[in-house]
Amino acid sequence: MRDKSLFTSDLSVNEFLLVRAAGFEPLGLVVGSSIYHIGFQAGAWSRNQEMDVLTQAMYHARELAMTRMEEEAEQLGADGIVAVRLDVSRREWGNDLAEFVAIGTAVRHREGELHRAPSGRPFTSDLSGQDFYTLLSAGYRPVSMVMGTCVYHVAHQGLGSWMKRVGRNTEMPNFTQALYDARELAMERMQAEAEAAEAEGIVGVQLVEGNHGWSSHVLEYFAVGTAVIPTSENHEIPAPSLVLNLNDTRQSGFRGF
Amino acid sequence: MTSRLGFTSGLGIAEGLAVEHAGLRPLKQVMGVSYYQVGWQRMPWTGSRTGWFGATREGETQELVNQTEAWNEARDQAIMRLRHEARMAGADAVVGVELKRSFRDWATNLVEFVATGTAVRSERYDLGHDTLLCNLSGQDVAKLIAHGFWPVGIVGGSTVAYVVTGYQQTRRAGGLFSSMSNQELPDYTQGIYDARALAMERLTRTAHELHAHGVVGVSVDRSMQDYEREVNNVTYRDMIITMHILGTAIVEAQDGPPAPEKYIALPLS
Repeated sequence: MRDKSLFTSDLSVNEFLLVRAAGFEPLGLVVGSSIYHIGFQAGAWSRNQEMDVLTQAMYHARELAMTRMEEEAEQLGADGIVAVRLDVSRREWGNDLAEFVAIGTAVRHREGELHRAPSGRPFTSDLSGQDFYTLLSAGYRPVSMVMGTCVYHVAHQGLGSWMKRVGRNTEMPNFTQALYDARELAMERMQAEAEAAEAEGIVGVQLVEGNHGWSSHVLEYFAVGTAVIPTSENHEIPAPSLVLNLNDTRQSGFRGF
Repeated sequence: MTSRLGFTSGLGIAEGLAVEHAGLRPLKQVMGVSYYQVGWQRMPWTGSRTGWFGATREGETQELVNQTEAWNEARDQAIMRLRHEARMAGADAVVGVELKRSFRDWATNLVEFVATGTAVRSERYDLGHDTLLCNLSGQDVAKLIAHGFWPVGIVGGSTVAYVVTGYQQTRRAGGLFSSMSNQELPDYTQGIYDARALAMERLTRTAHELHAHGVVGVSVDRSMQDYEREVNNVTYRDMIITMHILGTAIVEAQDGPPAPEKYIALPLS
């Protein structure tokens, strides 16, 4: 018998083997969860503005879920968490309820080399096991998942501007400006988090637009990525070989009843 | 049975080749089915003789024993029958097991599990008496074996948990003024954690019984439903969480082959 205890992980076989090849052992599935009541804020009908109460809610609830997940990893003595997924789902029961869940696999380096973030917390990364392996072999390592969010109210078009534009091909500068501002705010906040984490850059950024049951003119922009720092000067990877893939999209013949 | 058919398998072409490469010969497609009737379920707060808060405290999570048992039993039965069919066919292992779970509209309180997979025999290794099951594709099985790991079984856990909402949470989130502000709902959050612990505990117990070293490909499937309860003119919104966890238990072979070298490739498709 080995002295190691049982691990559980939601990594696929490919990810599991590559995380091991990168020198890490999975320790366990870690979860952070928070069910959150989002408050209320009225937006001015004809003004572009950030809905700061709602932004605050989205930030706070995600923070709660992420911190709880990190605490579980801390208890397992992990170096970090890979393949983190951060989901928000609305619940139709109850008013303004949303469920925030962060799930990932806690890992530890086999040779005991410390891979934690500069802050001493376990690193977090939303990269898949495959990307994690490639990133490490290219001489970088993840420090933390960074995110920025902005809930924004897009102004309604007034009667005057509707009259001016009716039936014509024309840009709607008001709407363009609103979506620009909202995206910019979210990206900026994400960058600020990465700077606070002393990262060199952010990889795998996703910018997601969402509406969590608010009125149609209220949108959330959520930017999330993995902040990385270099581990060596050399960032060259071995020349990739070309592969003619024999895989079909249909992986298995029989798909059940 | 006199059939001239060599074998049947639910494997795709590449999958079949991968399995053969790992020294496994497909024999037969196998199946296990279980329909299970869920008995009457008493809700936790009605069970007490001393009033509704006698047995269950506010903000507590209780497992609905009948429904939980039904899901777990049905799953185990379906897997057991699949294993039995595989053993009859003289198989050492079953790869690509798919577990499907459903409700039928023509019968309420009925839980259904169907498990299908391809039974294989190992031509290179003696795998012992137990039939090894895994819900991994043939490719994944081949990759695991090449790295010195063997799948040993499908492990799962289901739970149906009832979260009794406390007065504190109801008052804060439902009030006229307090509902304007952002806040966490601690009873529900705790409920999710409890449900996960209940389901996960079953999974790890089964994995320990199989002497597994780890569980990969764990999927967590959860759904929630609210349940209104009125006490002294206060409406409480309780929650019923159904959670299913499933994964494949693996062991590390003691004299496993060295891991194949990995190189970076650029697929042309």
